[in-house]
Amino acid sequence: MSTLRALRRRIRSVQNTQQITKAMEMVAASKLRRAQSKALSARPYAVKISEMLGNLAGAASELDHPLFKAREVKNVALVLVTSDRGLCGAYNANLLRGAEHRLRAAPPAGSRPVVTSLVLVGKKGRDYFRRRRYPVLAAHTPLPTEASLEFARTLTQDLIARFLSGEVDRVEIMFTRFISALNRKVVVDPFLPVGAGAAESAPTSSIFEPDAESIFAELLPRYATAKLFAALADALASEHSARMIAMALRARTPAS
Amino acid sequence: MASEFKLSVLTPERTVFEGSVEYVQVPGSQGYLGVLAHHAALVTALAAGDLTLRHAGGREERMRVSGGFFEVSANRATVLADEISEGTASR
Repeated sequence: MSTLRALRRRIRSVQNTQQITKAMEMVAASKLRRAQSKALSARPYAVKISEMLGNLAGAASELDHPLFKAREVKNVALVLVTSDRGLCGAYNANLLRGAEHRLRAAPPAGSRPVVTSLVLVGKKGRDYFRRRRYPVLAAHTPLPTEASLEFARTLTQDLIARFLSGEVDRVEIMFTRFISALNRKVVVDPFLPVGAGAAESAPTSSIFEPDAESIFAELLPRYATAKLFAALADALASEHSARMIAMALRARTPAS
Repeated sequence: MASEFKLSVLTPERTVFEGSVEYVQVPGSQGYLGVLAHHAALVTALAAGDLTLRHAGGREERMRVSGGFFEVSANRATVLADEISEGTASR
């Protein structure tokens, strides 16, 4: 039986929740703006370094750096970028579902089985896969609150070391690409060997100092770092936009 | 008046400088090198050191670079620096 007192209490509780979700929406919106501008200001460098890589690949014929060479794939590392915190709608659920789908995908008939192991970034991914029996190579938490170059460098070095030692033959990144405040998409990008995705351009008559090979060797890890940094920046912007929308929906739905 | 060319100084995180300059000097891996307008196409690795750029009119600006790459092509120069710390603007 609902007395007037109970009813009043209920009204206050609903109002409180609405206030909190409204506040969280506004916080997410302002974090989104920052994350978005961060993702945007990383773009000129990423575009230029990819252009330079294309130039070099076109200019020098015998560039056989180990980071550049595709080899027979037996072991794949899938880097999964999730968030540390929840209350962001289906943001993490989409990533976890995508990753599980990929882990379970049967290899095409006749081909050798490929083992896919996870490199987990973010607490949600780590917690989810800790309770399941998929191979996990490493977990990187906590996620920096803003896209951090330091974090991208460390992670890139770790992945490059695993690739060069032969532990894995291919590395892919699964993350949420930021399209707009209302739109984002889970994607899988090739990461190592470097070069999958970099367009080879027509040879230029540039002077290389000291020579194309050594510049190439310096460029590859930086290219990888820039790519990972861009993925992290996108993931963070996506997380904030997902949270903003989840909170906006919650604040506007009449509490049952 | 000396002729100018376009220069971009970029780091993985942001654009540090974008505009017209008369001259730029960078710490190339083989030693410092200076570039004026209409320089031949060039790609080089950078060592740690000072980057000096001269705006039209002669005002100079200096920054510290930790390493990276420098490219010139078609009267456009680009510095891809690992990190940049802006030094004091000197004359």
